Amino acid sequence: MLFNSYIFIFIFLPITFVIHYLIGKHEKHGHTLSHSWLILASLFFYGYWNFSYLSIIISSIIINFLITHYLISKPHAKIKKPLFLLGLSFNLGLLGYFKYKNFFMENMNLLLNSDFHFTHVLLPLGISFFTLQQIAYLVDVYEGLVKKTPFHKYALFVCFFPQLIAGPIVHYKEVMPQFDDDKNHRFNIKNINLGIFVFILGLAKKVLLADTFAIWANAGFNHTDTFHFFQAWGTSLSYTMQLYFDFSGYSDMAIGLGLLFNIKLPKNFDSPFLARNIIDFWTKWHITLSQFITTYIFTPLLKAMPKFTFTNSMISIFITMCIAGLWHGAAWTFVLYGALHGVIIIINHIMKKRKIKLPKFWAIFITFQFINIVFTIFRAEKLETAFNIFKGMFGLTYFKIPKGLISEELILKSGAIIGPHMNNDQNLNLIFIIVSLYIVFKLKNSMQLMQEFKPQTKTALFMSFIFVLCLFGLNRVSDFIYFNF
Amino acid sequence: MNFIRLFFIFSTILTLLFTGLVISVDPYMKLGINVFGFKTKAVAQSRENKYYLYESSKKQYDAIIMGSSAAHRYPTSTVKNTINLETFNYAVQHSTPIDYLVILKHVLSKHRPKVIFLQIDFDALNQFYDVDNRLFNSPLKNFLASHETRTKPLFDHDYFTLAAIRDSLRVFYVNYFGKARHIYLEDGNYRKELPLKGKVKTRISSSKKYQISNERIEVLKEIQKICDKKQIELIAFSAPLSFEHLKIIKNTLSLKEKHQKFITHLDSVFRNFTNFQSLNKMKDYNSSEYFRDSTHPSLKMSEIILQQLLTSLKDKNNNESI
Repeated sequence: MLFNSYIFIFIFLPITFVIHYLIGKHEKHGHTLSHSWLILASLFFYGYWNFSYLSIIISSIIINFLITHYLISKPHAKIKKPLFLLGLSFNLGLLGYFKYKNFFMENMNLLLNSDFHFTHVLLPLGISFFTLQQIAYLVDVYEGLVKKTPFHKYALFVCFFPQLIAGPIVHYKEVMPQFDDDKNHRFNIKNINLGIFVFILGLAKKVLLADTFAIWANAGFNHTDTFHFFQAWGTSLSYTMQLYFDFSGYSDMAIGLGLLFNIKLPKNFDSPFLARNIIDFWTKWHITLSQFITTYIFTPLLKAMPKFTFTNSMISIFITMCIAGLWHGAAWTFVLYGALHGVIIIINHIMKKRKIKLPKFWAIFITFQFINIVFTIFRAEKLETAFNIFKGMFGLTYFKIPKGLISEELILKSGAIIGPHMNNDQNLNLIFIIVSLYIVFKLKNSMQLMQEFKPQTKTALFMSFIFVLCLFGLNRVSDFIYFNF
Repeated sequence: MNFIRLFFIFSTILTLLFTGLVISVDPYMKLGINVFGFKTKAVAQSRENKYYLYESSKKQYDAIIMGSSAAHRYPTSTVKNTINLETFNYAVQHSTPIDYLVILKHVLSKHRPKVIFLQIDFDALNQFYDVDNRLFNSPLKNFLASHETRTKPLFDHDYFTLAAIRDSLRVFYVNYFGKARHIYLEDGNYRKELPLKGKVKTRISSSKKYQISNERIEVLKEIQKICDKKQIELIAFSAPLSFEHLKIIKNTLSLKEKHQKFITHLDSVFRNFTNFQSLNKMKDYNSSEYFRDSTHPSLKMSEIILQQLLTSLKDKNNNESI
């Protein structure tokens, strides 16, 4: 079920919400019933896509719970590590089989020039997210940071529907105390107001902006001929904006939905395009994934290095970023996406070490250009498509300037070609890009707006207007990009 | 009043307002409503536009092209230049045999043509593919037999979209401040389009179920009968589909069988029928140069199809002009 669908907004959410608070009102001791209801609703939400996926998530939860439960009960030191490794292998194996089997077999065939037949495995939704979350929990348990947890609490921690499919990736200690808190089972008008507010902001990002940009981005990436300058920039910027609004829209909706149930999910975005370098970017983009890869990949990798030196930490960064790239998808373009981030982060560290600092404007400008370029690689199914776009972006093909944009004399003097007038679609694309650049660079982000939120009449009117526009836009329902990761 | 209550009240009011706007303007003429008495609906569909184009033209058209939106791009100039007949393209979107019968009656009410090119879609014979409600709201409804009624529900949830709101506002703008821009040109020709590049997008039928409608086959027989009686050369042909689209049909067992039946039926109903829905015929035209999407041939492809039909027509008539 998609957050941006009529069935979710008008049926699933109201029923889940009302029953949750009815149970909360009448349940006097503990919250088993209330938790069970949310688990049931979350599993229904998950199974709505494909019923057979349910068996994967349920077995993953049960096996992880059994392993961690035994680890918490302080087993003999001799079996603690093997048990931990068993849990880790199970999770990585699950991810490996469902996410990377096709990729591995295709590359094996290519490398060995063989033709091994294999059944293509469909990627279960959200597997990357719920597996990472459970790995984090397993590590915390192994390090003795978690107390004994009943099954229903653990299951809810993994499958709570607002963050189940595409994050934010939550830490046990961030949410479980909130599920336990008596206050959070009572109707809290302040949180509900705020939840509605953030959910609609996210819905608008997705339905009105991301899905509109998707039309231009898809058309551009399906184009196989030479790109001219404007066309190439239109395509790459459309995708960058689509990805940003799609994913940050999803995260806002998740945070808003969490608040409707009095659960504060961690923020996942913090104006990432205002980052002054790529190190900064990863503290603002998909924040919870950055925290996960720092804690559970980079730090252990660095610890495993023979010496703690600058070079070793840079090597660890590079490997970590390649893994992060591969986490996004089983394709070499994703590895390249991660590797490029790794290289630029290393350059940023070298600059930092040598105290080289760019002026703020240029730092933001260059960082955004880099992000726009790597997102083009991220989207392209083939590197060839990405390079075709780059050729156009850097003026290596030809400049075709639409009639009426600047004087024809000037166009001819500059050696460019005079193209036809911009059509309505191109005009609209340009307007959307300019407005979106203004939104991401100049306006406050959702989290800042949340802090300043006041439940006033004008806010209610404005949010209603956006919400109704979104409702009329729901006929072109589309998946979230991060559902594929 | 608290925020949530205000939010729900405002949302309800705005939803009613936008819904009311779309219903009262009825930009695509799905409901046949014209509360504001607009002279034109700039975004109105071909049934209305082409009816008036045909009705107001001083030309006497001796060749008529009929079909769905897939036949929009058949250029009338190709027919005129090849067999020297004034031609009108009367293709209308989302059409089924009843549309063709009604259009034929309209054409005959003005002048008897010599040739009719009739393109039939695979979907057009599917009984689960509804007759378009716009037929019942256009002036063509006057040519419907009395027993033919609307088959679609009055409220179509696909109507309440951002595009419908935009087009409703556009209708207001056009009627009060601007000029209507019709997408159909003289002789029913389609507006000029920028060429597409890259792969052909495959659009498989919106109907999940497929069942050949005997009732619609009867309507096709009636069209052939009228043409015979009026001594009109009826050239029927199946709408060209892209190579990839045909491959999907071929590889989907249930569709493959239905498709074979569809072709057999058309072949038996029409005296002069050409099948373009064959992998062999389409294998050389597998790019955006020839198809706008998998069911809509480009202008270039439309010319190729017409030329093939005209060549066989000329052959049949021993190279004499008709």
